[in-house]
This record gives sequence, structure tokens and C-alpha cells, in this order.
Amino acid sequence: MSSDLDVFVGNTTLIDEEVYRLWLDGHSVAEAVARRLRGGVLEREGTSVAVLQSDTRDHYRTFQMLERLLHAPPRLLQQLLFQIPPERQALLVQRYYAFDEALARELLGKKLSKGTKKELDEVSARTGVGIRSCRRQFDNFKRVFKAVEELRGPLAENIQQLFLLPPALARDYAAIVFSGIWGLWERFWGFLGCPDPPFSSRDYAAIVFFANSRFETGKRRLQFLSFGDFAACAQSMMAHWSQGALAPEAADPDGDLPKSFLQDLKELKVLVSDKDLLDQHKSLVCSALRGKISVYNELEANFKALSRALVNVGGKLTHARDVRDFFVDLVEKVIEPCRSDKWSPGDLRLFLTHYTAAPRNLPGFRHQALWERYMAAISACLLRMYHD
Amino acid sequence: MPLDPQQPNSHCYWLTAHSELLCVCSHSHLHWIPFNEDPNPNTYSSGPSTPLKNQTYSFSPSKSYSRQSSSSDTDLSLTPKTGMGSGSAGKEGGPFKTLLRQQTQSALEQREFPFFTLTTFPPGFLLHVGGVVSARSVKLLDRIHNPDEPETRDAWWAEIRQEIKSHAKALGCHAVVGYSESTSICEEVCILSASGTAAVLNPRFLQDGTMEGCLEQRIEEASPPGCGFCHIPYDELNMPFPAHLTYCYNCRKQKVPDVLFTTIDLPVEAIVVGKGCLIQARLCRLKKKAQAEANATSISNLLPFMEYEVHTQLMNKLKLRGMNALFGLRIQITVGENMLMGLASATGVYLAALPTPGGIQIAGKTPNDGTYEQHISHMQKKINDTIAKNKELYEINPPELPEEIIGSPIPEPRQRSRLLRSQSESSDEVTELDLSHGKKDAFVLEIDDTDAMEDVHSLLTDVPPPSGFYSCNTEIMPGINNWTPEIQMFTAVRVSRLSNINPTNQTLNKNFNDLCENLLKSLYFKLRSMVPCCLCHVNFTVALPEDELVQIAVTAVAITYDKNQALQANKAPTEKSQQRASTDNEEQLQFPLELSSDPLSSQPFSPAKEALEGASSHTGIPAAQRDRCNSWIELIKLKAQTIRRGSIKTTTSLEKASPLAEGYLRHRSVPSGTNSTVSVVKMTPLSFLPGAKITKYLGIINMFFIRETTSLREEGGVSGFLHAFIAEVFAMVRAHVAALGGNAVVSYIMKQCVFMENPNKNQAQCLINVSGDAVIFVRESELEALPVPAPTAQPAGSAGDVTT
Repeated sequence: MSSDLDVFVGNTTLIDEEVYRLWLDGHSVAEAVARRLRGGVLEREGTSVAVLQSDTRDHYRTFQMLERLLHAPPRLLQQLLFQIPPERQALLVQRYYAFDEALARELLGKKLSKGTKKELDEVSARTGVGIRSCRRQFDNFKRVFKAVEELRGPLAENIQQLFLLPPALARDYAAIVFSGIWGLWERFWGFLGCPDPPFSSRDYAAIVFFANSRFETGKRRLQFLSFGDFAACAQSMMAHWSQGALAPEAADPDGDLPKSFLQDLKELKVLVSDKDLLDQHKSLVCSALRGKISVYNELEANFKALSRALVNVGGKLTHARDVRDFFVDLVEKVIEPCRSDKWSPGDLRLFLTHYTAAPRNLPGFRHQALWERYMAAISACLLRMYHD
Repeated sequence: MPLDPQQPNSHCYWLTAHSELLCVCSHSHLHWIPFNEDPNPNTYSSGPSTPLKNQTYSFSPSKSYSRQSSSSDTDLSLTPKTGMGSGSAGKEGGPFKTLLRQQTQSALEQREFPFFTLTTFPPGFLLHVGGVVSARSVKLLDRIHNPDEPETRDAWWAEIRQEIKSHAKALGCHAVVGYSESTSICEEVCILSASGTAAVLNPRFLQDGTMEGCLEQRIEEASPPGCGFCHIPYDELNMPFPAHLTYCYNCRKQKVPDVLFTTIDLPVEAIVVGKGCLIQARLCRLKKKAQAEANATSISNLLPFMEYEVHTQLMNKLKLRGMNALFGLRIQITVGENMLMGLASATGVYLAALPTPGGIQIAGKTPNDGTYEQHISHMQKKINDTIAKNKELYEINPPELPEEIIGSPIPEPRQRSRLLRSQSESSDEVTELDLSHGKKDAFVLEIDDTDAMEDVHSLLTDVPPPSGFYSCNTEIMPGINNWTPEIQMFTAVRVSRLSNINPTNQTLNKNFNDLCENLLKSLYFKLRSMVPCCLCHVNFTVALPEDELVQIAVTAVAITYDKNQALQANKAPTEKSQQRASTDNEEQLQFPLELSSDPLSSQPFSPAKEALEGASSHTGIPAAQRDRCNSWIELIKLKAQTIRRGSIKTTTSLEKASPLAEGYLRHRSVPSGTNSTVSVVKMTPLSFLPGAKITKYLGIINMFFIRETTSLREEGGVSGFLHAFIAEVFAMVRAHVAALGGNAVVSYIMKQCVFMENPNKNQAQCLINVSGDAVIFVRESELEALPVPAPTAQPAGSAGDVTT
């Protein structure tokens, strides 16, 4: 006796968290039933396989009907078809937009194109995330990206509003979008919150032309960095460099600060190009750190190289072609030398603190505020990335 | 609906019964198709369903009744205008009891059909309950003379109602409560069914038409309220059927039967031991495919056996649970092309007034066979274990009574009944089995063939609900009083194919049984997050849409209860339930829907209203009572009219509802504070919401939906199609209620769910008819916090009354 038709509809839509997770992981009904069986639900509830199958199918149908609403979460709130308590709605959205970090790491630095979607098979094999789940997450990234790419205003807040995601998750998405994984330089600026890109139209055209201006994240050198590292870096960059962070100074009478932030970074080159300044900087930092740091000798020997690297990373940010090397440069020129000299993270922190603070006492250095803002993000990135 | 101004006020009850009755009719009429003359007027009826082993059947040739009403409209002028003499109060003695009954009876008998479709009554309303009365009739629809006229149909129903009435009379009752009618149609054959509970009503209620007098009367009543309704209404020397009678275990004054079957909800005053449970009897019978008369005949021949078996199952299952009474009994016989299906649902309880049921004993036919004997004893042990387990599960621990107080069962009732049974006896009396050997009150199952063996096996296949779950098909679960406001109403539909090539009754039975059991199991599983909870008002509907297809639709509500409080409540369950009852009744009396106060809404009924005003002023009833009564009548009339029109009569109430609703919503929106714009609408098949007070009734919701798809596969097959459709029906009902300013639907029911598919054409159609009452409710907790919304309902009504 086979059931041709079997439905259960509640006035309040029933959401089983376990089945929802299985559905999100891309399991078929049969697989989901098998997994639930292994979970021992049969023994716990004393029910039969047929009941489990029927229950799973019911939930899957509900989720399929809900999916189109989940694509635009505000619609889930306004729809009348399913009566779902608010906290359950939040859970649905949150789980739907949650992503596997391993997958996000793989996708970092790739374009959200059809080509990439075709490569998801390999990504799935590498990360162990189910292919259907991969596709869903990929589509989620793409949907979020498309929805916010044209919008002004703080990225994380936009995502939070459009997709009703909890702040933490929205920040993660913002980070993904921000890191320019798929974006062009132009968008990078858009996300920073600048009303206009600080480039001339010619530069702009050049940037669009160099469509490969994404941050390079796929290099072998960067493999040790997790998605979380990149997300944290992107977040600290947004926090310190974006319009929001600059807001107090945007009210400055001089007024042109946000636009010229990156341009101004070039001014910082004086720290390494001016021999006097560089020497003074070194002596200030060294005197402050003497005895406090275990790698003092190495520091003394490498100071100039490190300082050059740190300052030059900023100087290169205006050039689309060089932006992609941002992370590579940091790793290659700062992290790897420090690691080979066996700096402890504490050493690095101490060094960065004093390195950032020292120019305050440099005579003739006029970009103190800019420098500190720049170094705040760089320090945060470095400290986050400084691990094995 | 004309109403004579001279009509005494007491007639308002009759209006209730009649208009409700008509609702039933008008719905069954939906399906009628032309036909000529009924060639096979076999009216079949089962007697009152008290003691099973003495079940009798009668096949009476169709009697021709003089038609008294010519249309389905209630014509009140037909009801006699006799006022009732004022009943005298006093001790309920033997002769007085008879006198009282005669009085009531005479008043009631003057009505055409003293039937009530209501299932709950004010305490003290039911003096005695006799048992279930039912009648069925097989008719052919293709031979009707003038299909547009209701004459033939009305005559059929009149016939069945007469049958019911005479059954009730045979039980010494003058009224039928919890009455319902239904039809099952397959091609041109139609089974008309009616059932109800024979009862003796309190004449005081019928006389005064007000509740105050009755409540006083209840106190004067000699018989204690907790068991009075269990006392037999018939004369013990002239019993309509043989039964074991004992003295009431509660008051020890009157006689009670050993089991009681009823179609009504458990009276609130009833004293119940432990919890109740859902009991179902399921049955399939094959029949040959045939045409017209041959078909009708074969159905008619099968019916008595089916009914007998359904009762056997019910009785066995009741005993197996150690209980002694069934409430809310609903037997559904569905006719299909090549089979008949019977599904009976009821809520079993242990009534403290009735004797403890004996166990079930199995008796084998071939006692000399050793292995067989062993098998039998093994089964017996299993049965005894099950009974013991069930008693524990349902907390049935009746207080132990010394034997001498109980008194022995009345001797030789069988003999006497044999002599005096006259009502509906016929030759099949000889088939009666003498099963009373062995323990005196044990119930003996004789295993004489493989069928019987199957039956015993199937008894044991019913799995009790998992722990934390209770289920019943009545409004509330006896023995649970502490509901939380968390409710979940749901509808589940299953269509299964009985795929056997050569199906036999046994395999079909097993399939059907499994189908129902699995459905229940899956409900328990799905709702496991609500534990501890109770499935209330579990309503199964069986349909046979095609040859081998069985469709089962279930609508019920799961209500969570508080386990900790349950323990406390157990100490004084009856007191609590009585308290609850009295408050409930007050609420019902004070229907805030004072339609008469509103010129807009009362416009369609203004003549009736005037009539009522006139009537009540004549009788000189205090204004307050009159108003209450009026409002009730108005509500019922509104209901009746709406249903008859088959449309949603909500516009009038909308205008009235909006100011209050707005105010209410404003109040609500402040604490809720979510950014969701969609208001929550609760739905329940019950007449109340736990932990909430209904402040306003906004009118009936009665909606028909038809949905068709020509892309069935694309919509996820039949399941996807129906799932979406039912979800949309719920959503539309909710939206409608929300638009009226309401926040809940009570008494929700899915009256029809007709599903048809044609997978080859990738098509499916579905018709759904749902109805319920839109209401505004306020949480009791909020009521204390916000005193504003609740009083607004009342003063508005009373102020309006003054002006009119």
C-alpha cells in the first residue's frame, strides 16, 4: 500500500532544524532519511521508517516552497502563505545564508561567473562540501553581491538590511564582497563608501580594463591563510579606511580627505625615501624596544627593509595592477622575514605599536593622522595573518 | 425566517436546533443529482450501542411518513404554540420522575424533530443519556422525479429522522443531542446516515429559555451532577435491549449501564477517572461492482455486518484500555466502487459512575489442540498485559469499593429483556451468542475462525501514542485542565493505493488499519516538539475517490499543556472542570456580538428582531436576560442565514468590528514590536482558545476554493500541488480574518476536500470547503495588563440596547 499523496500542513509552519540542515547540505530525501536514521531518531521516538520518509518529504516540500522567499528575505517577512514565528524566520534566513568557510576560502579571489560555477565540482571535492550546497552558497554570494554592488552606504549595513542577516554574518558577507574577491577596483572603492572613486576618468578606464584587479589570494604563498583571516583583514580595512571611519574628518574644512585618501598614502613614502627620516624613525623605534623584545638584533638589522615594505604597500594601492599583490606583499616582505627570524606575535605587536607611534616625534613629518589610520588597518591585518 | 411575535420565548431553543439542522441538510444537498423513484428503500438502523453482545439489527421496510415540511426552510409556524406549564421543583422520586418526563416529553414530542446538533450543554441540561441512536438508508439518486425540488430529499431525511426519533423513544428518551447527518455517494448510490445520542433533557431549560432558572434548578436536583446523566432513562423492567445494570458507583441510588456510547462531548460535570484517549474502529468490506439496484442491495446487505463489526471493535478497544464510556462517537461509512469503508472515532474515558469494565477473555474453539491452546493463552497474557499497561498509561485508578456497597449486577436481565424487547426485534435474535460464561463481567471473545484470530491480532496492533502525547476527538481531553496558549492546528491528507491484485477483506482491513495508524504515528512524530501535548478534536474523513484509492484527511489541533500543573490539578479534577464549565457558560451567554444593538448589522433581520423584542416584552422577562437571549438568537440566525446562502456574510460585522479591532490592534502592536507587518491569526477546530478570552465574534467564515493545475509534475506532483493549495487555503482564511480585524478562527472545520488527478494529462483538481468563526481574542495575561479592550465590548453592546 503505497502513499501517492501525503501532505501535512500546519497553521504555523513546522520547521525541523535537523531536516533543514540536511536540506541545506544538499542531501536528497533518501540521503536525508538515511542520515536521520543513523542519528537514532527511530530509537528515540519509536517510530517507523515510513513515517520518517513522509516527514522528510513534507519538510523538503515546505523548504522548496520557502526557497524563493529566502532569496529575498524581506519577502519572507511580508508573505502570508506561511505563518512562521519571527525567531523561526530569522533562523531560516540565517541558516540559509550561512556558508562553509572552506568554500568561501576557495572562492576568494575568483569571479562569480558561470565559469566558476562550473568549477564547483572540483571545489566540492576539495572542500568536502556537497555540490548542491556549493551551488547554493555560490548563488548566495552572487545574489548578495549583485544586490549591494550598486548601493551606497556602509556595506555591512546594506547587507544586513537587504538580507535580514545577523550583524556578524552580514559583516562576513561584507568582507567577502569587500575583499574584492570578484570585484573590480572601482567596486572596491564603492564599498569603501567613497561617493566617487578617487581617480581620473582615464585611470577609471584603465582600471576597468585591468579587470584582474582582484586581491590575489590563491597563490601558494597565501595558502596558509584561512577565509577568516581574509575576512578579518577586510573588516579592519573597512573599519579604518572607509568613509564611516573617515567621517569626522570629512567635516574638515579642507574637505577632500575621503577622495584623496589613497592618493595621500603616497605622501607617506617620505618615511622611507628621506634618509634622515628613516634613520630617525629607526632610532626612535629601536630605543623604545631595546630590552623589551627578544629579536632586537634582527629588528635592528631588518628595520629598513620592513619599513620600506610597509610603506610601499600603501603607496601601491592606487594602482589597480598592484592592488592584487596587497596580501602577497605583506606576506612576502613582512611576515616571512619575521617568521624566519622567529619573531613571536608579541614581538610583532610591540614593534608595530612603536613603529606606528614613533613618527609623532619625527620633526618635519606632517602626515601623522593619515599614517596612524593607515597603520591601524595594516597592523591589524599583519597580526591576524601572523600565524603558521 | 418569520417569527411569530406571539411565540413564547421558550421557542428560541427550537430555532437553534432547526436552523443548525438545516445547515447539515443544505450541505448534503450539494451533491444531489437527478433521480427517479427509490426502488430500494431499505432503512437500516442499529439500535443503541450500549452492550455490544446484544447488538440487534432491524430491517424495516420504508414507512411512508406524511410530509410535514415542504422545503428545507424552517417554518416556525409549524411548531405548536403551546406554552409549557411551570414545572414544579422537588425531590426526584420514582413517580415524580415519570411525571416530569412525561411533561417534558409531551412538550418535546410536539416538535417535529426534537434534535440538537450541539454537543456541549450547560451543566444540568442533560438529565439522562440513553445511548447512541443511528439510522442509515441506501438510496438511488438517478431516479428522482424533479431534481430541482427538494421534496424527495426531504422525504428521505424525514424518514431517517423519524427512525432516529423512534429509536430515542425506545430508549425512554424524548430528545436527541449531538445529532448529525451525513451522506456518502458513489455514482448513483447514496448512503444517508444520521446519528445522535438519545437523551432526557431538563424541562426547566426548555421552559424558561434562560439560564438563571436552570442553574438554580441544578442545585435543587436530587441526583448529583457528576453522575446524573449516566443513569438510565429507560425502565429497568422494560429495557429496550439487554444490558448489565448496576447501581451507580457514584451516588448508589440509580441504575447505570455497564458501558455508555454517546456522540456528544463529555459533559463538564462528569466525574472522570484518569485521562481519555482516541479510539478508532476501522473496517473495509469488498463488494462486487454492480449497477443501480443490485449495487444498492449489496450495500444494504453489507451495512449491518459492518456496523456490527465496528461496534465489536470499539467495544474491544474500549475494554482493552480499561475504560467504560465513549464520547464524540462518529461512525463514517464510505461507499466506493468495489468496497465499503467504515471508520469510527470516539474518545474513550473511564466514568466514575459506571462499573469497572471486566477484562477480555479469549475462548478457543478447539480446546484439545495443545499448541493452539498455548497460542491462546499466550494471546490472553498479551491482552492482560496491554490492559494493565493502558490503565497505567491513562492513569485509571478508580477508588476501590467494597463489594457489598456496589451490589451485584441486577440478575436475570437477559431473560426479561428477551420477553419484553419489542421495538426492533426480528428473527436474527437467534444469532445472538451467549458469551456470558466465565467471569461474570468479563468480555469473551470467541476465536472460531481465522477472521476472529485476525481481529484479536488487530486489537493488539494499535500502538498507544508515544509518551507525552494524548489524543481525543472531543473538544478537550478529559483529565487535562491546564492548557498553555501554544496551539498548532493542522490538516494532513493522504491518498493511498490499495495495490493488491486480489484483495481480500483481511488484507484490505490490514492496509486500512496501517494507513490510519501510520497517519497517527506521523502526526505524533511531527508534533513531537510540542510535548507534552494533546491532539484535540482529531477529525478523520475517509473518501474513496477512485477504484483503489483511499483518501484520508485529518484536521486536529495540538495543544501543549503544563505537566507540572497537571499533577496539581489531578487532585481536584472535577472541581476544576466544573469551575471551568461555569465560566465558559457565562462567556457563552454573554456573547458580545450584540447584533441587535447595531442598526447596520441588524438591518437584514429587522423584522425578526422586532418579533423577538415583542415576544420577550410579552413574556415580561427581565431585560438583561432578554438581551442575552436575543443576542444568542441573532447570532444563530446569522449563522443559519449565512450558511444557507453559502456565502460569507461578514460585511455587516466588518463595519461594526473595525473600531474595536483597530483599538485592539493598536494595543497589540505596541508590545509585539517586531518589524513583521503580517498579523498572526490563530486557527483551531475548538470553540475556544486556551488561555484566552474571546472578546468579540466577527461572523462566519465559509469559503469554497477550487484549484486546478495543468502542470502537475512541475508543481511537485500531487503532494506538491495539494500542499501548496492547503497552505494557501489557510493563508486566505487567515487573511480574511485579519481583514475583519480578528486574530483567530475558532470552530474551524474542513467540510470538503475533493481531490482528483489525471497524471497522464498532467492535471489535477481540488475543491476545498472550510468554515469557522472569526473572533477577536485577548490573552488572559494581557487582559489583566490592559483592562481597556475587554470592557469596550460589553458596554458598547448594552449601551446600544438601551437606545433601541
